[in-house]
Amino acid sequence: MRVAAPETVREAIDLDFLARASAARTSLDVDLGELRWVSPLGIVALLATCLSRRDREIRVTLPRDPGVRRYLHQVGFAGELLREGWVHDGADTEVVPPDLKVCLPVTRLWTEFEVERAANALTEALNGRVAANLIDVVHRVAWELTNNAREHGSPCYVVVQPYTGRTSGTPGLFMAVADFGKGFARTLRHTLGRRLPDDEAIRKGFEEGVSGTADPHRGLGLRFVQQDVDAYDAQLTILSRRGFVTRERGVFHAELRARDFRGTVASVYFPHVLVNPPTAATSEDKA
Amino acid sequence: MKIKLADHGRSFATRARADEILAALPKGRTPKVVVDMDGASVTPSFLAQLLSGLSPHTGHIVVVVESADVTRLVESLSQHLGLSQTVRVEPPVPA
Repeated sequence: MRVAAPETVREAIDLDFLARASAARTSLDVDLGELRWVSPLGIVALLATCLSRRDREIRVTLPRDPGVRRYLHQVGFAGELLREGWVHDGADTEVVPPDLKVCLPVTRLWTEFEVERAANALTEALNGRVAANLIDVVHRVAWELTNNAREHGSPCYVVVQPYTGRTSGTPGLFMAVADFGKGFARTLRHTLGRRLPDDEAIRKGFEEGVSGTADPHRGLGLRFVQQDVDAYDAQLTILSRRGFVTRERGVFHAELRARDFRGTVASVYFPHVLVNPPTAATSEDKA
Repeated sequence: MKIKLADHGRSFATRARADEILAALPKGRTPKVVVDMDGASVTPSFLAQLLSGLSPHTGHIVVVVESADVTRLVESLSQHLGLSQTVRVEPPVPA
């Protein structure tokens, strides 16, 4: 099975090309050759998709664009591919340490211990770069989304990166988490007693007391994520199977997409939280 | 009994981390537990597990919190966990 990325993989809706990857039976070729712009969201989605097919042979062709290749090393994506032996490209054979400008390079999380270690690393990295009172907010949102992914989905990838605002217009902090689990609708089916459409299931997951577990005391985590997103004018997106939901300025938008992403990708953008926004070295800068 | 989270680290993300802290506490019932959250970043999952795990061992849990966000978090969680009568939030005492 071969899938080819478009030139831009920026938003969840740009991930349609990955929908076919789950049909790979013997091997998966991911061609990123034409890629000229990729966001952290695209990066974790790509890696989660590869991880979901890890029992097959996986070959990833890196982008031809040198700027994008450099960014993929800086954010830790290329290193992860090399460690897993997924790179199908002789030009990149060494693991380059991620750039320290990236707050939390792409990190794969299997265990609670790894989550705690990554949480500590992020807190350290944010110290002095994000207003002190906002470190707690970023921590809550990043790790609650990660806990959700791991608990209801699968091992996941997480990344947290500052944005200069050169492309988006607003400097800020972007985080993305991706898993290859069964998604909101299937997770909630047992507790709701029926399977909702994917977009409705995501919305439902934000309601107080709605949880994928049978525990009546659970089901608050996403509610708090929503409160923090609203309180700090952040933007949230979640793609889970065919469901796509965004929350911005206190309003949800939901749609049911034609393509099925086999897993869940959540991202949050916190604008105006950086004490000193970066001036270079993100994918955003080279767009 | 007092639990100062800063003695255990700076960030607390998972339910498993709460279980670790609970497991290290003295066994038996105690009239009051003070959880000092000063200098700690916590997730709702961690805090829910910590409060749930403490409640069978005490009738009073005092959570010392400075920020308004975390105060709301503790209050919402206490209500959701059915611990409104057990958990009280207090601001830190100025040094």
